[in-house]
Amino acid sequence: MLKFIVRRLIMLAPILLGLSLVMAFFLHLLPGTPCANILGERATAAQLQKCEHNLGYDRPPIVQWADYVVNAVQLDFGTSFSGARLPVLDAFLQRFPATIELTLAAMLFAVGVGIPLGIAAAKRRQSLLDGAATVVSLIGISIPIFFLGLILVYVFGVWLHWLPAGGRFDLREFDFKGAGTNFLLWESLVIDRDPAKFLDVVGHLILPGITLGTIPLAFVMRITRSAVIEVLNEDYVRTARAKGLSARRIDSRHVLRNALLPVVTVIGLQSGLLLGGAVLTETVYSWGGVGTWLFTAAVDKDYAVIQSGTLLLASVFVLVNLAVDVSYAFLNPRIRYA
Amino acid sequence: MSIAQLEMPAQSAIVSRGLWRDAARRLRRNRAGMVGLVLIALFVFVAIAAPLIAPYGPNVGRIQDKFLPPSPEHLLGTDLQGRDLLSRILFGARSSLYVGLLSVSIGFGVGVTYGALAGFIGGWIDFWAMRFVDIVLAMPGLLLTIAIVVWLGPGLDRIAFAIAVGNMPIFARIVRSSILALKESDFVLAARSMGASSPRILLAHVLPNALTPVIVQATLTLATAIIDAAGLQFLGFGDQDPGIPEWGAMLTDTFRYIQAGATFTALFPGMAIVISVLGFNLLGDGLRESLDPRLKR
Amino acid sequence: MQKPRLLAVAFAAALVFSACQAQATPTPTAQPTPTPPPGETAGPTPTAAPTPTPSGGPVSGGTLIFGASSDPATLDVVQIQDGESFRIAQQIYDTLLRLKPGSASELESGLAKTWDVTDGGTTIVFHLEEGVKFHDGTPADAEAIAFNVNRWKNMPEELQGLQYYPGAVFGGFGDDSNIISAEATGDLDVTMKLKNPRSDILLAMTLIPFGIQSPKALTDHEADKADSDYWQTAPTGTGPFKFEGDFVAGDHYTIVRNDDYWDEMHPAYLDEVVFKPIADGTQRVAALQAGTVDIIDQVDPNLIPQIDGDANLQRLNRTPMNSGWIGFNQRQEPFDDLDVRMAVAYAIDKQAIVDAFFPGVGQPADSDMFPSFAAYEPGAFPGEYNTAKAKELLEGSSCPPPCAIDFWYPDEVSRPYMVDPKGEFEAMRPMLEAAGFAVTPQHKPWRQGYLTDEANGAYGLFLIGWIYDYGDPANGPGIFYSKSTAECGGVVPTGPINCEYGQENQAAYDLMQQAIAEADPAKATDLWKQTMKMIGADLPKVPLVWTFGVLAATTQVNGYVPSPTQSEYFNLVWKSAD
Repeated sequence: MLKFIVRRLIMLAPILLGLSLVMAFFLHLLPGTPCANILGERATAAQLQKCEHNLGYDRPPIVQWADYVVNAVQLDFGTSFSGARLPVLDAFLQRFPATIELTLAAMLFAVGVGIPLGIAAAKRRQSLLDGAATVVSLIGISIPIFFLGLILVYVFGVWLHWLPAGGRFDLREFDFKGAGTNFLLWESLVIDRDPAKFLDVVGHLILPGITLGTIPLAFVMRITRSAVIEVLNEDYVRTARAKGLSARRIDSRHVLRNALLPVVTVIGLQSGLLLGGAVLTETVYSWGGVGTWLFTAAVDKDYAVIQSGTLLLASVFVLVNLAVDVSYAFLNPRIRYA
Repeated sequence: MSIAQLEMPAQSAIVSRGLWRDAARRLRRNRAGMVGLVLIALFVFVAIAAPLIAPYGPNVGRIQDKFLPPSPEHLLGTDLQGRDLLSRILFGARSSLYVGLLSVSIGFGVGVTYGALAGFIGGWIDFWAMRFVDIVLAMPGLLLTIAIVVWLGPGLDRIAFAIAVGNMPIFARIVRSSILALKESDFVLAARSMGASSPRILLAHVLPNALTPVIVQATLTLATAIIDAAGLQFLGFGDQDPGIPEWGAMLTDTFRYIQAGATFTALFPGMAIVISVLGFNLLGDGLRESLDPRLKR
Repeated sequence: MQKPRLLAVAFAAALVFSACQAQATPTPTAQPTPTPPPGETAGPTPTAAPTPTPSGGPVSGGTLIFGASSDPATLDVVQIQDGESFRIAQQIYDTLLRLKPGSASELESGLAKTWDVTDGGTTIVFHLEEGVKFHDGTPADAEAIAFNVNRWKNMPEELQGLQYYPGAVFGGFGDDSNIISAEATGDLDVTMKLKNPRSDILLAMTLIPFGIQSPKALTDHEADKADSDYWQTAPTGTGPFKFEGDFVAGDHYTIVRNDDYWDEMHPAYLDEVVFKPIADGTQRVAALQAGTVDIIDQVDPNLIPQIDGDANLQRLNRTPMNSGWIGFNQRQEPFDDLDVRMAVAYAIDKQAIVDAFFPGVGQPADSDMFPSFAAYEPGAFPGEYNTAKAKELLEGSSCPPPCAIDFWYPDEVSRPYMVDPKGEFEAMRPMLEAAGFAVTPQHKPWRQGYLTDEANGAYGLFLIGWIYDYGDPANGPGIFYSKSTAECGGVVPTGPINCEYGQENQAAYDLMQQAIAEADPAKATDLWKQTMKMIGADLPKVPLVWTFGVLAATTQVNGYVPSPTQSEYFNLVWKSAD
């Protein structure tokens, strides 16, 4: 097992290296350089040229790439040149916790609703509930995420005033300047030990969580349903039933345990995707996560952020997938990695 | 990652000759799939017949008539520019269909070719080809599309291309794994032992059989392509000519003024997206169930 | 959803009243008055509040959440160009002189208590307030001021492009700068020597890009380097609010009250001000209605009914200081033909554009100056809505119908004079086509090429406008029609050619230079009127709208004085209980 993990971690290096190379050439294709951003709208051609020379953007892309890799290995990912001009790693660390919390909320919603619904649907196949669950999951993947987000904001935020319409916490009542981790759930609960503050953060997570969680919900629900159906048809379940075991016991000891495997995989893969940034959800809820960060960077052609941000997120994605594979092996002892 | 990939292991792609006839029969009995087919037929009909059935042209209107409420003249009212919303929704089907079909054609064409070659050639070429796919798949999805649109500039065809780039690796992976499974199957081994050339085996035997899971995927990808295009339009990336009706842009524009005159009509462009996407999702599910005998109920 | 709307009707009258009052706050006087200040006169007092509440006077405490349209780009004042940076910087820093709250041209004392202008306007001596300290405890004395002024003049070349205001007001950097020197001529006296007089120089000193920053903080954080972390980690001024480390990019920027503010007349009431970036205009309004923020700027005029219809909200109007227009480049075909330009001017129904995009916040314009300016010349730019006339002009021109033209508008931007560029284009296209034009839409992102291309004369017909920094024509036409400092597409202009408009009118140019340098207001006004007639006859643009910006706030917000120049002082703001 350890050998497998190490081998996969080693595989990470060529992928990231390849990715940075692809990005370097992609950025080279973009017209202009970050200097247009650094110097502002009124810079002269001579100033631009000087800036490009100083920052090395006039070198061949392959040289720029090599230089980039050398710096990146030392965790120097460059500096953002638009918006708040922060070192990319600092900006990432400031933004990523917001994305993690949003992902967490979305997956909690997806799992909390999706698994029970999937099990119920599987057990009463072709029933009204099964039909309803199918429709919910179909609409969940058929509705544009920003459309759903806008509707939720207007209904629950603006008209009913039940839930906050955006942001991560009530800026009026609270502040989070103590620990500076930007993990607000953690800070409010563990460091500040302030239940009101914690609940406020949770309240702000509800609508974005539902918005972002709809698609994973559809996936989790469907996989749970088909996995449970499959397991219910297995011989050992029939045997258990014939032995006269109680339904609850069959569920907990046989069905759920065996049906869990594909569900865990889906949860892992979906989390990996969500951690890559939810541009649309973050835009609708003015959520300061990595999605809007990279989106703005792409629009502003902020090289350092596009290049390093993509790289950092890709690393996260690959690592999450590795974790999924490991947990898969862990849950299913039949799988052995040589 | 999609439902099709998760639920359908490549082995199931080994199918018999009567596959399509069987599948069509099963599809006819699949209620959800047929509903999907009807929705898509409606969608395609609207896109083609828009000039005939729309009460007005997509760009007919005066700014003075903005946000008129629904009336006999304007069944869904008018938009910010005083144009008939119903007509624009009908014409908007064209943009959605165009982006959907174009992006899936490109993604399908490039992805299938790439994956088939990689799978069939195998060895080191296959290994590195798949690592490149890993790289593209590791990039955050919609952000990759946005970056390409920013690079290429506005335009429906460019949006379609950007979406296609995101889909290519998925097609490539599915085809490759089908082919790897088929390469070892009996009928391919038989063909090879009879002295058939490699390209001939690929084209005549392997590819047609490997295509079934990709076709399901293509149907589902049409759905996500329409949604992605709407998302891009929400973020401000639409066609070069703003007069071209696009559902995503219309939804954004009217929703902006939902409390300032646009009222509930803001929901209609959104519903048009949901209905067409739902059609492709239903058909995709129906196709999968019909094509994969394992999934019999 | 229904109930609040019914309630809204009952409150509508009250709101309209309060809105009018807000609008009635000081209108800009036509001419700057570079006379010595009245000395220790009472400055702005919180009674200038647009909505006096019955509950009584100002109360201290509380947090104000401002829904901003974006993150600030920088808080190193010399580099500031954008409104969101302006707004935050205005609270952290002080300028030598200030504008009277709500005014576009009435000077008040700032860090300089008094000042003397001598030598025909080329020597200015600022007499400073005593005992002022920066937030880091260092003294804001004559040495510190001189340090700041010298920084405006001397900057590393690769950063000069960033500093729009110092470059524009002083005409360049180093030897090109209009500043000869700035010296501390006493503990509290700073003498600034200029090469040439400029009638609006004192007004310019009220702009926050000329705010005074702590030399120690600037030096410690190497602010003159491109990768300095000065503004994110140590923006240090003398203002009523200060930075205390709570900036989270993309999420919020918090500043807190400076309890040791030197201006004892105007300490801040609020404990904290938080700036929360919300990019989308609709979502800003939604956030205000949902109570997430207390006040927002850049309200989309189409959403004003929504503000007016909500009993918990008030509208704050600025005096019109924004002008939007269609520009032409006279060196591009077919716009080199005056008849084609005229045809465009007659084709556009300005009233319809105003009604659709600027309801209640704008009016059709016939100049790029404002009627409130003494130098305003009515009818200087010909053209009124008349499709038949437009068609006739086009038929007789060098480009008869169908005359193919490119119409350029920017993406990813909303400005008070150009709220929805794409929408405005779509509304104007049928008008132009009715007159015989065949219009092709062309667009580019505002910050990624549109502005530079437009300034370099790449576009024949384009949408653009201007937000005045203060109420003086030198800050408008004086900039539009000057010889461009930028290259015209790589060719540095030699004569008085303006790249943007491709205009070559030597006589008008010479006259305008006289107007800019003229110290006597009456004479300057006369010169400006003549200049504008000459320029208008060339029709370098079709003026579309005059607009004012609109803020919206909850009714708890008091003392916010909207300023036409956006110099809004948050130390005057206080929040009443619910």
